[in-house]
Amino acid sequence: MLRFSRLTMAACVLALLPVSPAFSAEQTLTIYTSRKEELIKPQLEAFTKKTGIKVNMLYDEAPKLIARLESEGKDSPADVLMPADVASMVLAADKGLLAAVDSTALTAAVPAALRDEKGRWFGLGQRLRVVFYNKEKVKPSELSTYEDLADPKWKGQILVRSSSHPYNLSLIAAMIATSGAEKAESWTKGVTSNLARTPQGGDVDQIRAVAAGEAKLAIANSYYYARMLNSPHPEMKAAAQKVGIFFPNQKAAEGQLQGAHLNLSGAGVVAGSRHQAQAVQFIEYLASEEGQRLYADSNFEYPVNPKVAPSETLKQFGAYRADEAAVKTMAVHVQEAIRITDRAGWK
Amino acid sequence: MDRLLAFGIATLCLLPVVLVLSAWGISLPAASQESWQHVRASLLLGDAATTLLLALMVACFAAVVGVSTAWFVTRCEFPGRRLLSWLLVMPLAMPAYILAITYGSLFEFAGPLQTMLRELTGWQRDDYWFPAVRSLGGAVVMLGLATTPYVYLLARLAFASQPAEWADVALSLGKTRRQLFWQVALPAARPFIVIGLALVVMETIADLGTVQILGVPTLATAIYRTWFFMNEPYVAARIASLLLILAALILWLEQLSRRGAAYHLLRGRPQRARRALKPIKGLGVSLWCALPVMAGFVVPCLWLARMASFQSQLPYPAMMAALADSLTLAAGAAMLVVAAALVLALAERQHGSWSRAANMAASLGYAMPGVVIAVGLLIWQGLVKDITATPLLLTGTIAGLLLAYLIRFLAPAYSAIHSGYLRVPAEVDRAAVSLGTGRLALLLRVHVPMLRAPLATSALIVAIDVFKELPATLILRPFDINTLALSVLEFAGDDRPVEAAPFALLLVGVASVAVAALHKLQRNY
Repeated sequence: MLRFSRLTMAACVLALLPVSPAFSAEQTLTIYTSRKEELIKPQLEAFTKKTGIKVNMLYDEAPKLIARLESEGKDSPADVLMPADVASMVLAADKGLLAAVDSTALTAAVPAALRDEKGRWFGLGQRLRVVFYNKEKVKPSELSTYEDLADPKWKGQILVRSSSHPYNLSLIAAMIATSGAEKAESWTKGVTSNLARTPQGGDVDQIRAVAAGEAKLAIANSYYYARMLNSPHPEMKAAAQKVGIFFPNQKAAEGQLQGAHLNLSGAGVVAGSRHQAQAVQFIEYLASEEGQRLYADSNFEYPVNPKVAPSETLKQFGAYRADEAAVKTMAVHVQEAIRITDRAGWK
Repeated sequence: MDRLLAFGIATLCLLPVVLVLSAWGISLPAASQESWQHVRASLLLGDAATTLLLALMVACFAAVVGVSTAWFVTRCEFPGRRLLSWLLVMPLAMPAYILAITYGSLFEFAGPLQTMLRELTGWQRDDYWFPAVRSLGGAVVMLGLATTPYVYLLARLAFASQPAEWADVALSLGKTRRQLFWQVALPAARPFIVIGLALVVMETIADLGTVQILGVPTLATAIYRTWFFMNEPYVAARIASLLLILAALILWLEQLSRRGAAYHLLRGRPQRARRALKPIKGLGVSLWCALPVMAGFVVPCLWLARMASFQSQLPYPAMMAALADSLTLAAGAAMLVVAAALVLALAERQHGSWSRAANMAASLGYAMPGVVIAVGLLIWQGLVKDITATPLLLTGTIAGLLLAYLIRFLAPAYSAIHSGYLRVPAEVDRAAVSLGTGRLALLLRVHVPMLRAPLATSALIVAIDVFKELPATLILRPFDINTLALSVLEFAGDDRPVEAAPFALLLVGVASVAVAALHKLQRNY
């Protein structure tokens, strides 16, 4: 008898234990984010040091965080949502999960193209989804546009990760927004038939494979490459040095993407937040020159605040033109982009 | 009372199942209807076929490797037998996603093996063929290696507890040792092996992390893609119902395989002496048994150690904090799930068929990807909150997490206890009842002491599974919880194997201790 009841009691006590410090401490912000903790920790620590406001963060992929926010409703402990892609920010805003924020500091720090007109989300860091090439096998002069990657001359020479990733979906969605679903679909089919292998691994894997000569080109994000160049792992560093970075569509024609494809990470204040003022203060800090400096140096993103220069590694990549026009127009096309990749057989 | 409790537990476990099935009763809005058509046209058939094929091949892998190694270590004497008999359990401590990351990196084109091959031979990309790990075949091997111990443990238990008289009789009737295996030992061990295989198949169809890493499109990845990228929960739920059908089929087959048979294996003389193998044959058997250990445990540990060595300083405080959280969750879940499984197993023993059906239904959660269970709970929470206007939250509490673990891992806990009950003769109950023992006393004073080993086994299995669990922990956890598995994901998911390695090593190391305990328990049976 005794043993059973002890076991049950222990289980009950454990089960009933509420763990939600958000209710107790006034000066604590809770952030739901799809940014990896490593990447935003320096910013969070600096913010706490400056304001005395503590920050709890909960990491997961954006669609699941949005599902959790919806489920928790007005009782959610979340104050700020920080996704790594625009489509998720637009989705959360459309579902009414984000509050409209009116802040002159934010409108001054973040260019209009990189934030919601109603102030429900603000871009904070930019990564470019660009082309990487094996320096021994490809001359940069052979490269021109994203559209060119669908040309049969690259048959068996292109590497890219699975289409089940926001990075690729947003690129195709941007194509739909710019040149229509039909052209986007034939582009996707072209690229898929040029792939060197079934999509596998992450962006770093694509760049490593290009360095090893498995294919000539890879589509990947700029910050992975920058991180490899600064890696403590000698093989990573050596691989990155064999590979060059190319910004496509710098002189794009009409009907093509108008510059290098931009992935925007950002933040918005959760509608039901009990700490609205502090939440705004937090985003303002991230957009400030000090916060943006940390963005640039700690994780190799391009800052959104025009007053802040990118990190030394990124400066070496040179100047570029990003496709800012597609940032907001592409979000509604993500679903269509998935169907296109399914039909094209891009796994 | 116990029947009511069992019913309550089964109902809780059925929550996600009900949600998944309800997607068929709802008429979809036009946009979702279109998505459903799209999914049916371009995904469903192929992904269902891949899932079936994967499950079938993993089951074959686990059956061949698990049963053969179990037979050798229980019946033959060969070099390294004692060591191998417990090392063969070790891959249970290695999450399949870590195997996938390891072999993906080792065997890929840019990996060390192929690079060395090219440097030695001067070959280029299209000059040679090399097996691709990131493929269906790779997924079979990774999931096979990780799940074979389930079959091995159960088969070993069955072989070890077969009375020596059986072999004596068979051999005296002129049967060869080969015939002894195929005609006596294997058929008698079948119900145990089938329980193990059912676990293997359910774990395989529920797997998401491994197939995502290896780029193999299955029903689980289709659910994920539809739910989270197309933002179509009801379409995703319809796909998930296919997994349920598959799981129900497996459980039905499992029941069928032992229909009408009662296996009470407690009696009989202890095992006869193991047969010593000739040197060459013995060496071959040693190698055969060492292979899954090397591939499923030693090689990935070495790779992780090498990755970790690139870090100048290990993040000890973060590692210890994650370890503490992992242990707390694993212990809490083990207690809760084992208690629930015991209640269900007892109800089945006493009330027969109706509760067997309820228990089978409750076991379906094991075939659902953790992410489906977790988001299913989120949706339930939203519904309940809308109806009752309660300010209480399940998410962000330990209770929510434990509930998800209960739904997800009830099946393995239950089957360990259930198969333990198979070994307790019904006479024991009758004798106790005839002496005037009440039901609760029967459970606590007769069954629990007799089931000590299966109970501990089931607690360890749950603890190990929770230790490795990712998606449900990720979605439902309170923000101050950060387990070892989550830390591995955080870095590995971001292409940072060097940073992920110390956490992965600690995870595997601690899980190994639990797995070793599991082995000891079984041996002392």
